[in-house]
Amino acid sequence: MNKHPYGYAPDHIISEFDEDLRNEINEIWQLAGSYERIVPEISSNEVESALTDIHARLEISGELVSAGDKIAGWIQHYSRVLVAAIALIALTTFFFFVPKTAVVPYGEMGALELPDGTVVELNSGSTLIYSRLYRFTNRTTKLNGEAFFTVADHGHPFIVQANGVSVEVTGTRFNVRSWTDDPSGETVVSVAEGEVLFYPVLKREQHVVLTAGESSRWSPQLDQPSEPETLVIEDAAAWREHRFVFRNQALGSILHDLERRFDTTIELEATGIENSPLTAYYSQQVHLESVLDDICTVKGLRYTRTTTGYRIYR
Amino acid sequence: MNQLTDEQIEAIAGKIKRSDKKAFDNFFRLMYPQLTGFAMGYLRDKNLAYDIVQDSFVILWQKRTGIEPEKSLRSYMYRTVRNRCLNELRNHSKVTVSSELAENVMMTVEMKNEDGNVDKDSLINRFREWITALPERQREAFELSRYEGLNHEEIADVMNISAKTVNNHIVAAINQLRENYKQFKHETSTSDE
Repeated sequence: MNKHPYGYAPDHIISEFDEDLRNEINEIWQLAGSYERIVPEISSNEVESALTDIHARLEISGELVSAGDKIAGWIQHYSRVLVAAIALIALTTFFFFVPKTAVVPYGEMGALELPDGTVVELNSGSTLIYSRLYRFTNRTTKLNGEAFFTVADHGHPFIVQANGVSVEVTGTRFNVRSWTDDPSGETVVSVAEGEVLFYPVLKREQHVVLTAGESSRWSPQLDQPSEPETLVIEDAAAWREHRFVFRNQALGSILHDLERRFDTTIELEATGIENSPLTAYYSQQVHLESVLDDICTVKGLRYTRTTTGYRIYR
Repeated sequence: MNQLTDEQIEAIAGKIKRSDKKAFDNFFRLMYPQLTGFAMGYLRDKNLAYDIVQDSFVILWQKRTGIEPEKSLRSYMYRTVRNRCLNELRNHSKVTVSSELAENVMMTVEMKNEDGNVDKDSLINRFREWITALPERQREAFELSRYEGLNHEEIADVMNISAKTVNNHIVAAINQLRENYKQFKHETSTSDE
């Protein structure tokens, strides 16, 4: 563990001695460095587990909180109303031009009520943005993530924009799933009640009409959303009950869901398997590790803990 | 060994001060083995050394907002670990008597003699004895310089003495080792005759 077993004494030390002694001092310095200090061999696993212990201690004492976690502490776990309104501006002139943003941290769920009485339930890690003039001039919202909308019946059409696609309704209940980090860039709309129009942004003429019990998907390579399919709405919005329903879902997308729900990091080190589909159902309160066990069994993979989460490998 | 430059340490200190968890984790990974070895120099007890180093990192995070990045974070860590080791020695003086572990280490070093360069190994062992026999403060200053790679200012900070005193300690330690070495060479040459 000596850093410089054969190194020379540093200048600031050697300069303290007379010229003719310096060779001798260097020799002493080197010999003194050759003996093995009582340094324990510490494997990187031991370092990681020590670090995990420290994280655990800091979490218990409430020290290891980032800005995002502070918001999380603020909301009751998996609970009711979340309005994380950001945007503090100095100039009131700009006030109305800066949209409001609601962010749900990883590991949490939230809901908010918009000024018109529309209720939006947000899944872990989702962001909803809406104008301060919402209700007065429009009812347009922007979503990255997954949300279940219960739209109040009101004059303006209610519009959700998500990753290049729009959902337009008047009064109804529906689920939108649209993650920017989804490998296929897919947006899925599932309707529980009423009727919605689903179309790529600025291409309203290419809309698909969805009624209760139907869903449709769109991804950027499609001109038009897919034809309506019938579905079990409870499954499409299983997240609201803290359940997981993965139906032919790409592994990469499943892992993102798990990361958000359990506020963790899952690295996939096996290549070529990200898009491999998987079907699985989990009832409430499933443990992350039992989901990982299943995934690994089915796909012939293994996983291990890391400081920040998990790593899956072949 | 990953020896960080002063600039890198300062950058890390700044990040930890701003609650950057990643910087904290990486700093821990870099420093943990080194600091544990340092703590074992006092305690001769692996588990106790682990605990003390881990405690010191917990403290670092808890007090992160008070970090002064322009002061060496490295010496801050050594100081924290050293103080806790000295407290431990004061409160539980029993650990100072060389424990089983220290004896094991002796064993392994001696066993090496049998299958290697005997002369050099025994010389190395002698150095170990001489360093252990140095006056406590001299030994600490010398070891911090030689094995931990700290500069005089950092050692001064760790030991809570002036840089001038650090220098005196180190020069005295080296002079003592020189004497020992001279004596040793004299003995071996006379015994060869």
